[in-house]
Amino acid sequence: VAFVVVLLAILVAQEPSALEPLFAKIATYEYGSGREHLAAVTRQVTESIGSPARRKEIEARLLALAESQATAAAKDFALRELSRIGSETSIARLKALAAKADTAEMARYAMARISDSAAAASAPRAAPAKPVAALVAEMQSAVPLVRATAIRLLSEMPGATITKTIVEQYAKLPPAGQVVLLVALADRGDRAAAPLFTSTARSGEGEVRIAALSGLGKLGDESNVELLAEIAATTQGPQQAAAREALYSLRGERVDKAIVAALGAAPGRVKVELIMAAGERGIAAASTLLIAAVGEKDPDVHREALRALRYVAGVADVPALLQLLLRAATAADRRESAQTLASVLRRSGATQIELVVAAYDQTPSNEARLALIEVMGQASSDVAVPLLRALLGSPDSAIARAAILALTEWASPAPMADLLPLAREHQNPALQILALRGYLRLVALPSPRPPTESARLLGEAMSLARQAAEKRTILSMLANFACKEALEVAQAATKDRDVAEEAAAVVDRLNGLLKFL
Amino acid sequence: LLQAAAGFPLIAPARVLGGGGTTAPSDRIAVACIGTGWMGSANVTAFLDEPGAQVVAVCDVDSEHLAAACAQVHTKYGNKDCASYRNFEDVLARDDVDAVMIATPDHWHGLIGVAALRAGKDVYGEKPLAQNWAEGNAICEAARQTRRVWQTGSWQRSRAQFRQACELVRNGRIGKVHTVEVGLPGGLTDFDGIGHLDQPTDPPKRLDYDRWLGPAPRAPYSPARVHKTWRWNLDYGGGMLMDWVGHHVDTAHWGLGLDDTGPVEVEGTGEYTLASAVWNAPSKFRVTARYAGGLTMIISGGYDDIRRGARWIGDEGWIWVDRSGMEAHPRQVLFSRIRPDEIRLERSESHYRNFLDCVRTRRRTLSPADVALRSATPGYLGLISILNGTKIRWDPVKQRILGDPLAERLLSRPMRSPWRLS
Repeated sequence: VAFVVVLLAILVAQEPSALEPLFAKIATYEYGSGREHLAAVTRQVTESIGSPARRKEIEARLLALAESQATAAAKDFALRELSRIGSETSIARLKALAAKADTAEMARYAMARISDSAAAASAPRAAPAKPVAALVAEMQSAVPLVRATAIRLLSEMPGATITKTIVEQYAKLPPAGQVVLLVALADRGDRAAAPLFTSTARSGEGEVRIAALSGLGKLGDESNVELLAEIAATTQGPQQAAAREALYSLRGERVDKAIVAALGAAPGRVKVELIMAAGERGIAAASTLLIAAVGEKDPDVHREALRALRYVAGVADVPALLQLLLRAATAADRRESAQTLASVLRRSGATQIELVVAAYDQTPSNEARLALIEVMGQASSDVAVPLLRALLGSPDSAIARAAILALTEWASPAPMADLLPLAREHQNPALQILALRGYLRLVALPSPRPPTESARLLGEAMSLARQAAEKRTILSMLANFACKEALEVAQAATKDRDVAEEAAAVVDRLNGLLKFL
Repeated sequence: LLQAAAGFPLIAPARVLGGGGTTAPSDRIAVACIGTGWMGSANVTAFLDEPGAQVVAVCDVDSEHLAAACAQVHTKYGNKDCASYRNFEDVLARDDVDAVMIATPDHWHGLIGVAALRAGKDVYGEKPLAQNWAEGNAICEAARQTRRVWQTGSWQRSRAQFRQACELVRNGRIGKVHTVEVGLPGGLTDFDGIGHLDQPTDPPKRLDYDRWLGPAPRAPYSPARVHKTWRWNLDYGGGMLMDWVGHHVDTAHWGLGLDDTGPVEVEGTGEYTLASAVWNAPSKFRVTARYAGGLTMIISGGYDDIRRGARWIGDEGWIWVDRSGMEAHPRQVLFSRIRPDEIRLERSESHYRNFLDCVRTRRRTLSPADVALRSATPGYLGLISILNGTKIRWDPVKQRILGDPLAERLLSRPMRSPWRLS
């Protein structure tokens, strides 16, 4: 222990002397010359932060440098570093330096840092409150900004009386002021103001009515369900959008129950709006009603029910949804059914995908099979991979194409290995290109693989690309991977006449990224 | 001057809130754009595309940027009404300007932001909120005192996928979150192939270089010091860490409901791949921020082990989001609906429109100044920790560094005379 203590003492004792040649070198520093010695001093300054004695020594050297015949650039540097570790003991000498032309600015810089505290800037200063009566008076101001600020300030004050006061001012305001008042009341969140919103939503005009409808989404309850559905069904444009958004935003379990209860007996357009609301709100209890509504003759009800099921149906509904797909009378219905089924499978982790795979073998309809392949792709479950892999080699080019597309749509890059051989050697040129594009899409998916590996995969794809469009796609992807391997692929592509210009641009970009990484 | 509702003097804009949503030029919000270079020109385009806004003035210290922006406005409106300014003070003095967009280099954000608020303007300000914590805090104070509207350019809050990811996290779809990984780009990108070397030369005539430097310490002009790559110099920006903190850390905070709090401890390390007078920010960095309650945020730039974007890790799974997409484990989490009774974050289709709507209604924007300061704080503290090599302890209530006066110094920066925050 004694030996170590002695050794450390010797080392510490020697350190200050090691600084001398370093400080001598930086005394001649000029802007534009090498900065290595400055960086070395900066490191010393940083390392001294944990050692008061060391800090004192460096502080003295920096101050001496600033007072010496060193270059102006060296003095700038010394005073900047001093600002980091200097103590109050340096202030007197810094004041002297602040009186000299070449050090005035940076000496003040150092003094400001040493003396000032950022804490002073952080002391919060509250704005003086203004009396309610004054704010109410200013709500009637003809100056829009003053009026709007008064409304907002008042709306941020607590208490039921304030809500009442604001509501009372509504009728006295011009339309632009009424809009601001309604927005502020909605943000305030006091449901006591809801009647104002309900009446204005019924009878208001233009932007005032839109503001009331939007606010009703925050302040309303189940009693507003039918009103909002009716307005959504009978208006268009911003009013319809506001009514819909409000219907989708109303809070409370009783709202869901009110929507389900109204669904059964609602007429035409209102029913469509309620179905859409059930979908947007994800009301699972509505799924049975919606599956029944798919069977209705009204084409809008039929279509929207199918769409709403995407968000509402659960695992238990998969068999019924599968039947909807298999029995679809039109291509459009089949497409909608496929989308709905795929959504439910995605949401449930594809726990019922076996039913879809089994249905593929059982159905004689080619259209239905194509739709089922699409569903398998979107569900992206490993369970479907063996079937899809087999279908890649189908003699039926439509089936093979659908299988390629299904793997292209996969949620993870896993099927890259299946698509790459097809991109390399498929006899059908159209399917070869399709497989290559699918492969590229999968490479582009977010992935934890390192950039060097992504660059290698893209290099392989480049060797398979026959058309300029695919080569350009590859080049644009390469630009996202800042690594030497990507640069090499892009550099090789500069010799390809089809894409030489694009490749050169990517080389430039990668060089820029790589230079200082 | 009028006495505004809050009790503070303000210059009453001529047209705000008077139009009832109409978009005739005289009813639009009059916007002036300060800083019209790289991000600034994109913002000019965005405001020109907003029917509720009328760009009435542009301002830049580079005459080429200024002329290009002015021509863009004239082409869009088919007139010659847009005024050009070299000095931001002249823009703020105009009574008929309702709002300003600020997209200058970071070292100007604090000064112009505070001045704009005190001049009664609402502000759309680029991220990060300011070059350092104290100037960001000064913006917050000014916004609070003047009751002006502030929107920070953390526009990921106006993108559906980020909102959806945050809603899923907020509503417990991955259980209790214990870790959030934030992956940022690394390196010091040489955007225009200028190179990082310090090559002092005379500034081009088109550029008012002394004004460009403004409150930053004097330094000879060098091309790599200014446009675009200024962000790699710690006198003007904060490297990749501060360039991106207003995006992915902001998203990470949003997903965790941390908009009004911050870490209690921050520790960072950095790597410097070159020693340069003009680019002195770390090119690789890792910052670990610990929050009360056991949450840990890891911010990484330039390393491959953390994916670009934000990934919240909970005791029942994880969710990752980036501009390229969203992933989750288990995957079905992504298809879970947010019900009306759950936490629903404000929807916005356009960050610029959200700002303009809030100018009309005086609501808080999606990214007000105080939220932006909270989002940037792990970056500010992380950078200080990297520079000083010390662990930072932070009081998120009082917003103070604890027990480390040398670190506290770096929360602010002295300004070159005659510039100072009012």
